[in-house]
Amino acid sequence: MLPLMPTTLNKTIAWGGALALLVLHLDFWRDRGTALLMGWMPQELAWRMGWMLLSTLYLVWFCRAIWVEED
Amino acid sequence: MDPLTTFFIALVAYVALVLGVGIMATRRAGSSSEEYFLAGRGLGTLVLFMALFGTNCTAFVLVGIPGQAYHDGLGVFSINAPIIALGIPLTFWAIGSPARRLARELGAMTPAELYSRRFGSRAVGMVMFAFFTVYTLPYMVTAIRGAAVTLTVVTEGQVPEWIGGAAVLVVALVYTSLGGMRATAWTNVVQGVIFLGFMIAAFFVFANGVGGEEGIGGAMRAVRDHDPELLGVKDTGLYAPAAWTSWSLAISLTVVAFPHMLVRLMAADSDRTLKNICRLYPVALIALWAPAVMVGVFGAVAFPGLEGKESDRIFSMMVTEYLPPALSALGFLAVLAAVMSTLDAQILTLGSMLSRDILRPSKDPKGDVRRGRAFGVVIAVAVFVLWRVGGQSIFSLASVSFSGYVTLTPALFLGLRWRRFNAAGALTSILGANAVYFLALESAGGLGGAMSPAWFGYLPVMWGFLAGCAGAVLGTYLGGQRGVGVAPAAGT
Repeated sequence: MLPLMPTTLNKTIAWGGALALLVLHLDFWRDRGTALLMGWMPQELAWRMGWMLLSTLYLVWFCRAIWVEED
Repeated sequence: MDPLTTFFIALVAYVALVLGVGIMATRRAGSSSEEYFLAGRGLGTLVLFMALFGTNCTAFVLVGIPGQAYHDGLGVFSINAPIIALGIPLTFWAIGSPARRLARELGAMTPAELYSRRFGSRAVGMVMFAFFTVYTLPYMVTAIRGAAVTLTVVTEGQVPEWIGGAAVLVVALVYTSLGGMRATAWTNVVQGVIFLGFMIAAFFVFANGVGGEEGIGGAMRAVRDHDPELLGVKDTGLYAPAAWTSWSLAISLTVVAFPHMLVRLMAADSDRTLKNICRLYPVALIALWAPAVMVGVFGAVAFPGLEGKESDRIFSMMVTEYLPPALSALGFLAVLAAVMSTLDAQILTLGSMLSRDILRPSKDPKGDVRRGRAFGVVIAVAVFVLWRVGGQSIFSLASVSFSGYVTLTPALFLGLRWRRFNAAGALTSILGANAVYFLALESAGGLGGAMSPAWFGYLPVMWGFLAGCAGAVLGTYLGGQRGVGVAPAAGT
């Protein structure tokens, strides 16, 4: 996969993405319930795992679009 | 075969394995100081990833985190794992990548040497060296104590604590001295596989033990029936908004400021390698942290009623209760592996800093290596003595250290990303940040207050970090251009 360029648009997306993830992590506005989804998955764990999946996708994109290799 | 014999056999096999891997790595190595301290700046994705991950993850994740989760439940995962899965890779980009490039360009082999040359100021290097050392030594003492206690407990007192601690130090020192960075990196591959593999396997075995035939689902329902609060997040203490925000900052920024982590980033063979590591890091963190937290949560069902620090025993209780002797031995080796994979990097890095930052780099290519080995022995002896005579204050200092590294991050970051940033800015930032950090600690209850609110509900680390940012800007503009050495190249 070819790298993208750290254009102004990509940099804006990178900052926006990081900010959005931060807001989703500082989630005091959310009901942090103790229910089990599908009878086995704690709601809290599912939320955090989902967040980590999002942040992994963000990092994969970030490495391609923002991080320029200078070797 | 009785469990004790099984453990001793596994222990001998483990020591032989790490020494063997260390020696094998040595045979591939040259004898220059760059080879010894930085593996010739040639570590590729797999080895560097395991070296970083092994160094980053201490025995605290295997033993201390289950102990906390026993009382606090899934909140321990929520407050730690997600933010480091994002924060650590981003700091590898923000600080690690330009540090690697500039270190190569300037021929620097330690973090303090890198910044000293960057600013053309020996004072910056000495101040950084001082804080790196002060914050790292207590950390090492805590790790040694953890390993020693584990050995004593598993051997039912047949290995006294002081012998266990000394033995762990000697083994780590031997393979570190033999092969330097390359040996420690390759042994970290073995150690990382042991503790990561064990934790993943243990999670499923423990879930079956607690949940019976219904497995993970049964275990989760057992937790809900025992105490549903364990499946949620508290809203007091460290989990209150201001403290949670402060802790998020601390735990995501601190890792890159460990000198033993930063020096490993400087050993990467390319930016591509660092990028690969950033993609892998979140996955590995989930694989380690989720089982570590669940050990504690399941442990609360299996062994209810532990009070306070008693819960730090929950890892060994679960291992002994649910695993057969051979796997149980592996569990305790996993703790030793986690300790040693951090300890070797710390011995190597502090030894290299003493060799190159306190003394001037030697003109003899092998001189620095000889000094690095000798200083490794000095560090190991110092850690042992501090452990035996330092008393409880050393262990209080360890929690101060973890947040304390964060006070260095404004200078570490701006030194690589802001051309105008100068020696005055770096010194003002580091000294100012630490002054404010210790004042805030005092307000939060002294050396034991690193994780307690200081002012307006925020932890001391937050105030130290903000002071470091302010000091960097003020020092740079008020200090003029004095001390500017080599400005970093612009780039992303």
